[in-house]
Amino acid sequence: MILSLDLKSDIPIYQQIYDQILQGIASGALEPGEKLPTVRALAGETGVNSMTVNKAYQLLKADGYIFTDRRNGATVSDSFPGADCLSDVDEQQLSMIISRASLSGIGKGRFLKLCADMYDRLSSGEGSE
Amino acid sequence: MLIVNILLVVMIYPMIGLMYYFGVRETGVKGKPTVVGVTLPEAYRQEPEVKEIVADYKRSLRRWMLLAALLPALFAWMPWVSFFMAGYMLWVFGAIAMVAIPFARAHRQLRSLKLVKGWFPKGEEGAVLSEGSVYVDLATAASPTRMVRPWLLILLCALSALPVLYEWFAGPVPELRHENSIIPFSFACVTFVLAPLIVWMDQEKAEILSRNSAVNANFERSKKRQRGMVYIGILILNTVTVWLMELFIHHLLGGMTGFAVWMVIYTVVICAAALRCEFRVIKLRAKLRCDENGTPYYVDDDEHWLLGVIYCNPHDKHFIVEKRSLGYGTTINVGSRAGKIFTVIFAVMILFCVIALPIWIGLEEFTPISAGITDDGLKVSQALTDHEIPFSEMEEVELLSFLPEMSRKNGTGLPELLKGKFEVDGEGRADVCLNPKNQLFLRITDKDGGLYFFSGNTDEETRALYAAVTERVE
Repeated sequence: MILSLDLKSDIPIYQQIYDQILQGIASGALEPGEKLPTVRALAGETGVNSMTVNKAYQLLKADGYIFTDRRNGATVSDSFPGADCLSDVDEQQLSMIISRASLSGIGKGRFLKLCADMYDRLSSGEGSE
Repeated sequence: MLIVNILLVVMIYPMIGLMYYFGVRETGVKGKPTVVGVTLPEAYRQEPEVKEIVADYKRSLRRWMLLAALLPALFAWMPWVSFFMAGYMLWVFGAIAMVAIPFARAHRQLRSLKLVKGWFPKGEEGAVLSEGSVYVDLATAASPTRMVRPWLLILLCALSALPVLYEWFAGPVPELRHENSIIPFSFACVTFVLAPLIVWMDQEKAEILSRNSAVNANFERSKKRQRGMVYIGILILNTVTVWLMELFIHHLLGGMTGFAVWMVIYTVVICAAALRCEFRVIKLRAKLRCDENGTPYYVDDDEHWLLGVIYCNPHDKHFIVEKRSLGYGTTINVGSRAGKIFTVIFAVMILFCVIALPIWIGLEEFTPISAGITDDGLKVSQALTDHEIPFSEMEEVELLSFLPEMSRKNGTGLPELLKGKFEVDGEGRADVCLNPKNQLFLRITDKDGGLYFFSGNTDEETRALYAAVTERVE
């Protein structure tokens, strides 16, 4: 999987790392048990501060998407938390997106179709290989 | 002298041919992500504006290369070494600039066009990737490929240092130990500089050719294996050369003739091995980018490439990065701390070659020998060199009407000046400062066994000196 960080973006870099790794796991580009670069290696390759990479890894670890150990660095988890339900934070974000879609004049049917298409694309790995 | 000049000029022509070849490769060849140093996806390369810029670049490149090829006519015939060297050095570095001129112009035009038209590569889900984003293949970053063994480089550095240390502290000719150390030391320096460069090269950022991480990982392994083998091979050859220098300077293995023959072998082997390796890497890269199993990936970091050829990214900690345009192999990141130091050293070297070297040779070439009698001895001066031998120290003074065969150990060897330490046939080492085109020379031995060969600026001066010196010594 190729990580691309837009250093000029308003989205914080740690958030970009978090989002892309999460999308990679969701799409299957990153498989359970796959090794991720160490904090130092990823910081070296991207040129961003190792604290920034560490923050993204800590968030991924706290959310249960990766686990770390001293010898092997970071690894994608085999099982993911929160089956069958979204976290409170995710539900809040989803409600914001629905509100924006509604205000933009996107009807429920079209919105659900957009969601379905995106869901299929991400699950099939087309989105972020 | 003219033959030497022509040989030196002819040696550079393959470089001009190679530069033209790499210049032509910038016109959007398949498998190369850039056109005149601008990252441009295949889809936009057939646009009329792009075709026009590329056609204009090709015409301009041909004109500049022809000019570069004809320039030696201005200086190759010159009998004065300093003038020739000034022209030669300006030509060597100027020829590189001559490729860069049409390239930089075309690069600026195409980059502006790309920014105006928004011809950026597409990323995931068709999103336009902004210039200057950072890309990392997580799989190759998780298992970086390292092909170089640092202990081997340390061993080669130590082996290169040994002959230099031996010559400096225990060389067989005590009075020439320091002078004799210079040549092995200069070759040992190649090992000392190349060894860390090989390590940096091995640690360079992994290239992204495809969305398929396996393709990227295989390419990295293959590239680093080939480069590791070739550059360590070159390092071994250089270490052998340091040891051979020790033999050549002590007249073993053919002396200066052996040295000249070895230098030809050394240069040819190094150039051939490096070129072969890099061309294989170029070929493999193009093949994998075009491979249907992998989808080509465009890493658009144009904003970090000044004029498309100089990489300057202070946020990238890598000192060595893959060269993208106008050449092969690697280049340095002038934005990194090591890159800044390297750039200053390189700029000083260029200034030395283009300005200081011709001035220094000119000083040697055009300053006449000044020989005269002082209150208590003979003084011979030329440029920055002075010899003064007191009359009380002189053992024997002779006026020679021929110059014995001699070979230079260090110093200056110009058509009208021999100066420095020489090995004289049948007589051993001597200090020399004379014009070999003269007919008369002074041969002086001192009470410590030292031997000197001098001449005045003219034969009349030499004859007058001889008379004055013999009068005082007797």
